[in-house]
Amino acid sequence: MRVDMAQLLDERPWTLCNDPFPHVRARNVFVPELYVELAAAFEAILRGQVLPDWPAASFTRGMPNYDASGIAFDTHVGWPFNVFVSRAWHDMLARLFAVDANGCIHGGLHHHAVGSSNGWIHNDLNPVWFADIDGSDEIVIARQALCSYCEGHGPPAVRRREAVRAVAVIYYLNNPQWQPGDGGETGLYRTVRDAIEHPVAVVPPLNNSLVAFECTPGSYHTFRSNVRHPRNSVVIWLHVEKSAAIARWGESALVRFS
Amino acid sequence: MSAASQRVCLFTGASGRLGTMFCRLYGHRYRLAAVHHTRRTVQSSQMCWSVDPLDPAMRKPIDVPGFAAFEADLSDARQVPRVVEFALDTFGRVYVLVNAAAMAHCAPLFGPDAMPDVARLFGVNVLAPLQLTVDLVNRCWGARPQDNAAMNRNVINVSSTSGAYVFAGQGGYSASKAALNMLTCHMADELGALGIRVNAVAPDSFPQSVSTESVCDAIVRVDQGSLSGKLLLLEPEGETVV
Repeated sequence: MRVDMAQLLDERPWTLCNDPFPHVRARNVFVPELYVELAAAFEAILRGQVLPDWPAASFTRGMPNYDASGIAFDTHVGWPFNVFVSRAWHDMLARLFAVDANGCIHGGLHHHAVGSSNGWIHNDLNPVWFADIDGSDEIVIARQALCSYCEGHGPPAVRRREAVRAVAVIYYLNNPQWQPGDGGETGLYRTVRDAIEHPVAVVPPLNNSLVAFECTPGSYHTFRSNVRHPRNSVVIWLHVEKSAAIARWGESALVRFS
Repeated sequence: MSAASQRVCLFTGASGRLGTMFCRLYGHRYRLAAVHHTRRTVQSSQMCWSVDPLDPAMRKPIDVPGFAAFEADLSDARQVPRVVEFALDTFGRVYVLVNAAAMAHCAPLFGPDAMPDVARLFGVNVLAPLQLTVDLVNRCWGARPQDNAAMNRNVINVSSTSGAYVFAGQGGYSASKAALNMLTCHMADELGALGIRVNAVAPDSFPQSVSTESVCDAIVRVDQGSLSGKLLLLEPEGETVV
């Protein structure tokens, strides 16, 4: 699918903040027509309906130590969510953060029911795995049945490639109107030892807004408990080759999934 | 965040280690009346840029209009009223007063210059915070008490763990910070009737024992919170509210 981001993006420019680590915030990210489609599709899946363009999509609780249900993007993801796995989206974000992204994308839909627990403070600088069966110039979406994203497990016959998360994006959609005190924000922190209740900055889950950042040793963030409303989002990660991440951050900085 | 919605912070000691870090980290969140002595303040660095995702090479700093520096010697009581006047003239109002200016001179109590030293320590570390607060209340905050709680007006005195524990050779400094801690409690008690909160943030030595950033973060949390009459001890083991 060819995507023209200039046609799909609404409010520009976005805002790059340095506090407590470099991150980009944007509101009214997509044009209203697209946002309405995204929110409606999200809600339909949440209600158990079958999306014609992504029939297998169904929320499950499978994320260890993370109080949310989710759906991972796969190679069958269709309109409108395939915008997030498009070459144009990938390249725009890679240029925005000046990372040499390798075309590998992982992401999906997250749903936090009301009262979900706080997450844990982490930086997303994780080594991960992709099945190496797509064309080298194409976007590679994680195929978990062939190669598990976090551990690299899968049939021996499948070639695997290791990559490292390089850019993280959280796009908020299909949420009730947010007010201070509702929770459900993404908290940003200066160190892994910070108290979750004392973020340096928070990003509220405003519909059609996003926060994006380069995954670095200092990009500490987490989900903050949503006390009043569910929180819905799309998460996306771009990746770099592992050698590039090691050259930049050192192997000891990479955080393996345990 | 628009300039109109930013809180105005009167920050003394703005050119010191803590003040410089505060301006760098939080200069974009506050309109800062930055009071310094002989050393110049660092203009709050631009912390936010606008960036076009389709043309990210073009970045423009987002204007941070709310920064004004003022030179004053807070050991001279005659200069203190000028500080409040400067802040009100520049921004029209003040939401939070951060008394971060301090003398940290540590010397034996029985040395040849001990008495003048101790007098100066108390002047900058205790009397100046008190005088600034009183002046601010008299000129501005006392006029409409109902606005104070609504606007979460408050005073944050930057103290030290030296005011809570005995460290050898810090007699005058330690006594001045202990006095500031007790003064904080009494200020909170008296100004509470006007809806004004008063607290102290008391870090261990920074950046050696606790990070300067964590002290800045604590100041902002106290400003945004609802504590009053409390001492927030910042030590390597963590925070304690006393």
